[in-house]
Amino acid sequence: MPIAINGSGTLTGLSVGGLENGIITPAELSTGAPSWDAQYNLTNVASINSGPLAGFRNAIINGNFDHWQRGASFTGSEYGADRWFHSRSGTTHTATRQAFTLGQTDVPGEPTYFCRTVVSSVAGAGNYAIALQAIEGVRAFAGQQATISFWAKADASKNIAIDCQQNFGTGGSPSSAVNAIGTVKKALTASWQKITHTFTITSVAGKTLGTDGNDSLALFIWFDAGSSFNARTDTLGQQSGTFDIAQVQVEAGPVATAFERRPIGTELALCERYYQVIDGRAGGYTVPGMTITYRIPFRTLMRATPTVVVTGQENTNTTGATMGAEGNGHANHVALGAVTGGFLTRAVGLFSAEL
Amino acid sequence: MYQLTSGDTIVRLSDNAYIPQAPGNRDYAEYQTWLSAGNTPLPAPPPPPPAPDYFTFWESLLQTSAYQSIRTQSASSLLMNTAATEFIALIGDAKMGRPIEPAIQLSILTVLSAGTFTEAELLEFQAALVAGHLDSIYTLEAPES
Repeated sequence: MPIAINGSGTLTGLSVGGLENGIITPAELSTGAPSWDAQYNLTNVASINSGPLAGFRNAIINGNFDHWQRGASFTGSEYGADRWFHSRSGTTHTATRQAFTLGQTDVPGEPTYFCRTVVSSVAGAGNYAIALQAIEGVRAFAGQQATISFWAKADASKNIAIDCQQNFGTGGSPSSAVNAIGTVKKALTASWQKITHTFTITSVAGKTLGTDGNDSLALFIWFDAGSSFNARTDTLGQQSGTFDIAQVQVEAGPVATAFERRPIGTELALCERYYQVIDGRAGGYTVPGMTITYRIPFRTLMRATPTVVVTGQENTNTTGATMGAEGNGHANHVALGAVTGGFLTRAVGLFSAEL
Repeated sequence: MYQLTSGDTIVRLSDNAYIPQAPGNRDYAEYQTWLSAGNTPLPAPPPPPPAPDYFTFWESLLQTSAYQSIRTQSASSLLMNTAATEFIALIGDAKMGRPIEPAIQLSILTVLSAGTFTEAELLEFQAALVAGHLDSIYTLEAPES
């Protein structure tokens, strides 16, 4: 019988007599949750008064699918929800933003959105459909125990698979990627359920990083996988279906704690290290041939000098409105005066510095 | 497929994304992989023709004996004076970014037909058009009827 304090300051379960001399360690004192490990770390704490634990445990950004700067529906191998890459080969898929019904209780914490992936499987050993997120820095959880948790359901009883991949980046002579880390297959039903999986991330001792600073630990959630990926998916196999995921979390340690809800502006700032939309507008007085240019600081420094797609150009008494990047700190809006007089120029830059 | 540019970026043609030649940029890494597979990007498109520059044309014309000839003939010829006044006004509008090309062409021909010009003066006029990148727009010779 465990020794316990019953709430009235009384010890119960204490049998006096026959005790050996010595001390009782914290680990010996408590065998249930919560407990201390041998290093006196408190473990097995799911929440504090049913609220969140201390912040920034979750290495996944936008795990709550709150931010969709690129749109709300995607069919290619492309970024969809912020930080989430929807990858496919052979098989087709459509990833969309879906709203939870207000007040629903199937998934706790009143999340606003979840991500739905509708998969149409096409037979082929190399075909697949995946949702993945690359966590910046291959050192993440290296040599440590980590736990992934998320809520999921499917249109019927289906399986999905999870694995992680360590990427050592580009530039120089980096080590080859290591995948099939923590591979597991999980069963889904038509009802929301919390999926959890604890595993040890491979150590990076002896590995060589690339020189470009783009190494990462990537989490893969497999919906459809040809036989070429059996080792990475616990032989998931090929399947069509509708797969919903919400509240994705990856954290250190053996326990899936409550989903960490960060302030929405904080989460957006985290996303904008990798993707930003800059809407540049300027007005004034110009003459033909005058170069109009100004710099716009990125709202947060981007991970690397970003790629830019320019859209939304408007020219009133100007030509060639466009936008580029100056390193990872600034956007640069440029236009050319066409007519003497007042002008208005606009260009929208979609800046991406994803991993 | 990719295309080089006259600047330091590469265009990914599938979405017109401008990719910087920056280490750590995912798209640049993919481009390098694409190159390593033996692919070749499209060459940079030719630069656009230089934009008409009416300021430079006017500054060039002012320094020529052709312009002095226009002034001299304007003092004695009402026809030349009228033609020159209209020409100067039209070029003024063009310098402000509002060229009325048909009217300017007609005005050039009117000025040249209102007076007499030496072959050297006509060559100076043509050189001023070239300096302002206007020689592809305007001609000194009336079209044959």
